[in-house]
Order: sequence, then structure tokens, then C-alpha cells
Amino acid sequence: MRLVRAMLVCVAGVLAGGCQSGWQPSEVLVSSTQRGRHHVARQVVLSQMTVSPADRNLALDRVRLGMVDLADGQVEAAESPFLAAYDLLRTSGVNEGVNERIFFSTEENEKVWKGDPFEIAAAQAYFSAQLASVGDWGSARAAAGESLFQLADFETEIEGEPVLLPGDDTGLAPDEDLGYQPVETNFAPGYFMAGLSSYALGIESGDDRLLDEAADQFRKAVRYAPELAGLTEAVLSGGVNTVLWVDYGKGPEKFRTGNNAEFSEYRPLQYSGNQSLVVSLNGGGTALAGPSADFNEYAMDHRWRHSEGVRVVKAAIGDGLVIGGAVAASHGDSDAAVLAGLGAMVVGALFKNSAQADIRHNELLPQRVYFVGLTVEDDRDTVELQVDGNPDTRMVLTGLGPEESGGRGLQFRYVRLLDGRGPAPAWATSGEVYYANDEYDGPVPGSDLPYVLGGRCVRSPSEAAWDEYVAGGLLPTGMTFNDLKNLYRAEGLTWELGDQGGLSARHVLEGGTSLIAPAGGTAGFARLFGQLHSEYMPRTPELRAVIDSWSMHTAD
Amino acid sequence: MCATVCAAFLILAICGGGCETATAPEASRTSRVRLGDMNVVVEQTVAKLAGSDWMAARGGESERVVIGVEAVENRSSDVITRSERWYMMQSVANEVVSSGLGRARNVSVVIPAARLEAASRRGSFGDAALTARDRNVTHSLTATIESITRSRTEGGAGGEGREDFYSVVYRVVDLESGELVWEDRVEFTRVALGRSFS
Repeated sequence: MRLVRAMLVCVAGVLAGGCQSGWQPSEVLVSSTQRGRHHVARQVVLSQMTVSPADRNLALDRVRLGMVDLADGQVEAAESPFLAAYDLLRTSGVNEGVNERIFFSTEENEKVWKGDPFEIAAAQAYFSAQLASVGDWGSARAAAGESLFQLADFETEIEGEPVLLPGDDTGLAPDEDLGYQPVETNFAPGYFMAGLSSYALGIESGDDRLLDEAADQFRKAVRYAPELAGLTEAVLSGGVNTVLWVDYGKGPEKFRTGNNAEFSEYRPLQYSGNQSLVVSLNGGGTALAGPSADFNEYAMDHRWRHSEGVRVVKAAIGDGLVIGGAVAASHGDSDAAVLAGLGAMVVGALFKNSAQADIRHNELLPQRVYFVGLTVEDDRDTVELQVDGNPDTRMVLTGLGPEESGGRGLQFRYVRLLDGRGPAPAWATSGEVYYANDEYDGPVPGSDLPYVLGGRCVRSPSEAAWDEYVAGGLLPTGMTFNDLKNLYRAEGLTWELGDQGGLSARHVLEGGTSLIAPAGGTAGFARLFGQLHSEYMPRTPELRAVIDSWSMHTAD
Repeated sequence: MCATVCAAFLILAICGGGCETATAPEASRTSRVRLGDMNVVVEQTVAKLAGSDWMAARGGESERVVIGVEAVENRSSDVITRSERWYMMQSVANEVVSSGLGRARNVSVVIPAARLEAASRRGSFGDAALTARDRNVTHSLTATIESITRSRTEGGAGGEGREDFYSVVYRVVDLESGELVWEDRVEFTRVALGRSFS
């Protein structure tokens, strides 16, 4: 009798345990991203990441880190995590044999995350955006191409005559063996990035085939996002030198549903809207850009989802075992039969619980995407962005002056807008640059003295910066260029990605050690340089000694 | 009794199954360009350069040729990072030296300083010995990688998956005359079995 009671307690315990879940989206990560605090978001992602190649969340964590770095303007640093995710997403068989293991465990515990198809496409497109941001148009084109895989359409009629979708010219034949129709993707950001990359590469190389390819990809982008018609024409005619990818809002959330939580669905966290993005250059006339992609729509479209698979079978078996076991236990005419029934109930309860749907998803995806084209002449030019009707989303970008070389002036930036659920922080709209940095050529008061010595220059140590310090005449007497570099090193400051292990690091203005400036025209650039920060606090006796003797000298 | 045995078996299976680790990706599961592919390409390229008419007409006493390498242009379907592409060029430079070709034909291959500095900022590479700051570069070496991707949908021995045919074209141009003095191609195929979604 004691054994029976123990088993019943076990069944109850297991069933109760079913309410617990494993992976959860990070609210801090999402809210930090929505408020432009990407340096905080980075810490959240890093705290959850492991370096194990067997980590089942490797791709998810790397995509999230890449997106955070990209939003923070750390465009070079974003490459490494995106590349790791890309490598895994391009690798087949990482979940080989996992169905057998899932049968006796949970999907979250066993399956290497690759995401639903729309998340895979998004990961590749964001990687393409990163590569475009650093001017690597060839690889940007390759990454964008990887986002344009065919979709499995289970609803399109596959018997009889081949069905052509509206405007479909792919000539794809129905695949009766698979039970679905492979159809052309409608992922507009992928087509746009593929077209833009081909165009930039074509301009660089002078190869007309690439320009033709760009026109083809743009046509498909416009087919699925007619709002892109004007921009694609402007790009092809050479009418813009700067293209922005602008994200806004929270993307959909994946949740469990069904009697045994064996199904997963997405629900919008922010409802889709058609508000245009209002764009203004140097406070002049405004232009409107319509949304080009809606991640709520992708998430609700069955073609962009994986099938539920093994979990549904497990849940059904679990139900059967629990019910069957209960009947056997209650009607058993021997102790053995009762125990067998209870045993089946335990197993059934375990099956039901482990049938829980895997809800890991990329919570950093936006609700919508805008693309914007501009002609920017100078780093001091300001670009204002705002979702129509929501002034709290306003952001003023600077530092977008094009570099002289690369892509004949075509440059690309990724911008994550604020959520607009409260007044925009001052840095977002100041349009000012308070600190001289490696990404900005405009004049900055206080640029003739390094930040660590009380000035407003956070440039990496270079001969050009040093010449300006010398000309300013504010340096401690007798200090040489090498002295300054040695002080920086003693303080633990870094100015090359290699010294940071190839990863981004907290900037010195925000209490960190990195002097690597975010790319101009990003939210990270605005947050770092568009507001005043507290003075630098020396970390080493060497710097304290320099400042103390310098202060005494100045006082004299 | 049978139900008890089944239940015990399933419980054992649950415990056993839960302890397994994920399958590590295998070499044949991706059609991405690997370091080994690049090394083979470099080796074959330098061999083709050594056997070219241009090199055959040169000797140790010929007028010095300084070839400045440019970045590889990636037109393939794979992301090949700037570091990887520079690695391909730097390896050519190294191979020209180590194979004795440089001395035998009075040729040196150097990397322009600006390129090296940019790569160094990214922390991606650095071999200062090959830097061309003031080396009177006479020729340029460029390369382009292209690829064709094909889906393998048939079953059977070949299996379904993806094939990428890569083609790397190297070119040397005389900077003064603009003449294309050498061009050759190295090809390789990468096959990935299975679907990348799985």
C-alpha cells in the first residue's frame, strides 16, 4: 500500500512538474534592446552564452549577440557571432537521431536550435546586414542568398495541374512525394539585401551581370514589398549613397498550447501596423518609407514554421498510458496489475511532460522592418527617423559621412528604433557629438585632450590624434606618444578588436575599457557620443601619478 | 506482468536517453569552404604560376617583379570572411617564398601596408614581413571566387543534399602596361549530405 501511495505521489509530482518550463525569453534583453541600451543587452546575452560547441543554444545565442552588436554599432565585432551561427545553420545533420532521444526527453534538452524557417531566414539576412555594414558586399550577397530558400506550402493544391501562385514565374513543379508544394519565398528583406549587395559588388567590379542580378532581386523584393519600389529604383539609378535597415517594435512570441502543451504557436507582442517611417535629412523635407516586412505575418504563416512532429505523438501516447494505467490500477484484481497500471501512469505522465513544445525563439526580432535610402555628404549631417504619429520613437543620427573608398560611396547601416513607450532619452535626439572618436570627422570641442586626462577625445592612439593633442598644448609636460600608449595599456584600454578576443567590449565612456567606436549613424554611436558622461576614473597608480603631478604643475 | 516489464523498460530508456549528447557536425554535412580547401587552392595556384609561360621566361637575373596582392573578390554562394580571403592571398605569398619560386624567378609577393593595417585593426592577421610599404610594386595579384550551387534531390547512394562547385581565378596584371600577364583557375567541389534544416 505504501508503494502504491508513493507511485501516486510520483504521478502527481510529474504531472505538476509539467507546468514548469525550461527556456524563457529574456525580458531584460528585450526591454534593453527596445530602449537602445544595447550595452546592457550584450551583457545579458553573454551571461547566458557558453563556449561549448555542443551547446544546443549556440546558434540562437550567437544570432542574438550579433544582432545586439549590430544595433550597438559594433559592426566588426558582430561578424564573429553571426559567422558561428551561419556555420551551424548551414550544417546538416546536427540533429540527426535526435527524434529518438526526444522521445525519452524534451526537445529543448536534446535539439540543437536552428529556429523556425523565418528565424533562419532572418538570421541570414541580419548577417548579410552586418557584412554590408563593413562593406563586404560579396559575402553579404552570399548570406542574403542563404535567406532565400524555398518554402513548403502544405495548403496549395498538389493533385492535378501544377498550381502557380499569383505572379509566380518560378516554374516549380508540385512535389507529390513530399506532400507539399515548394514555393518561392516571400522574404522581402532577403531579396532586398541580395539585390543591394549585387548592385554594390557590380558597381565595384564593373560587371554588368551583377547589376542585372541586382535588378532581378529587387523586382522580387518589390513583388512582396511594393513599398520598396521607389528605393530600389533610386539605388539602381545611383540616386542614394546610404541605405539604412531600420527595425521597430517587438517581434512575435512563441508559446505552448494544447492539452499537453505539445503545440507551439506565435502571438504578436506588438500588433502589426502600417505607419510609415518619417525620414528627414538635416531637418529638411521629409520622406516616408512604408514597412517592408512584418515578422508577425511570417510567424503566423504555416509556410514559415516547422511541423510539430514527434511531440504530438508523445503527448498522445502519454495520454493513453495515463488513462490506461489509471483504468488498470483501479480495476486490477491483483497487486501486480495495480502496480503495472501505476507504472504505466508514471511513464505516461513522463511522456506528457516531455512532450512539451520547444519554445526557444529569437525574441530580438522586430515587429517590422523599414528600408531607407539617403544621400549623405558629411559626418555632421543629421538623419532623423520617427515612426509616423509616435514622436517618442524619434532618433537623430550623425556620423554618416561616407568613406572615400569602397562601394563607390554606397554604405549601409542597421538602426534599431526605440519602442516609443516613453519619452526618448536625450541622447537619442540630441544630434550632437560630444566626444571625438575614430568614426567622426567633424569638429568636437575638447578633442585636443584624451578622455583619460580629462578631455573629450576617445580616439585610439594614432599619430594624427597625437598631433592634435600636441597642438592643443594641454598635455602633461614631457609626455610622449609612447608614454600615452603605455598609459592606455596600463589602464587596460583596448583599441583593436584583436585585443578584445575579436568580440565587442564595453566602451570606456560607459565604464569599460574599449576605445573602439561604434559605426556612425547607429543607435550605439548616438548613445555613446550624443550625451555627456562622467569623468574618467583612473584605475592604475601610473595614471593617478601623472594626473596628480600634472594638477600640481597646473596649480603652480 | 507484461505492463510492468514494459514500464520498467521505458523508464530505463528515459534515463538512458536523457544522458546522451548532441551529434557533432561531420565534415560532409556542410558545403562551406574549409581551410583545407583554401590550402589546396593555394598550393595548386602557386604550382600553376610556377609552370606558367610567364614564369618560364624568367630567371634569377630577370628584372625584379614585386607583386602586390589585393583582396579576393567573393562572388560565391558562401560567406568567406575578409580574414579568410586575406589568408588565401597571404598563403600565396608565403608559398612563393617557401617553394623557392621567388628566388629562382626574382619575384616577391607583398601585401600593401594599408590592407595589412585594416586587417590588423580587425585582429584578423598580421605578418609584417610581407608588408609592402615602399616596395615599388610592379604587378597586382587579384582573385575571384565564384560558385554554382545545385540541390541533390535524388535518393540512393548519392543521397539528397547540396553541392557547391567553387572556381577560383587568379590574375596577375602588369601595373604599368595594364597587361594581363597570367591567369589561371583552380576548381573544387563541396558536397553536403542531408538537409540543413535538420
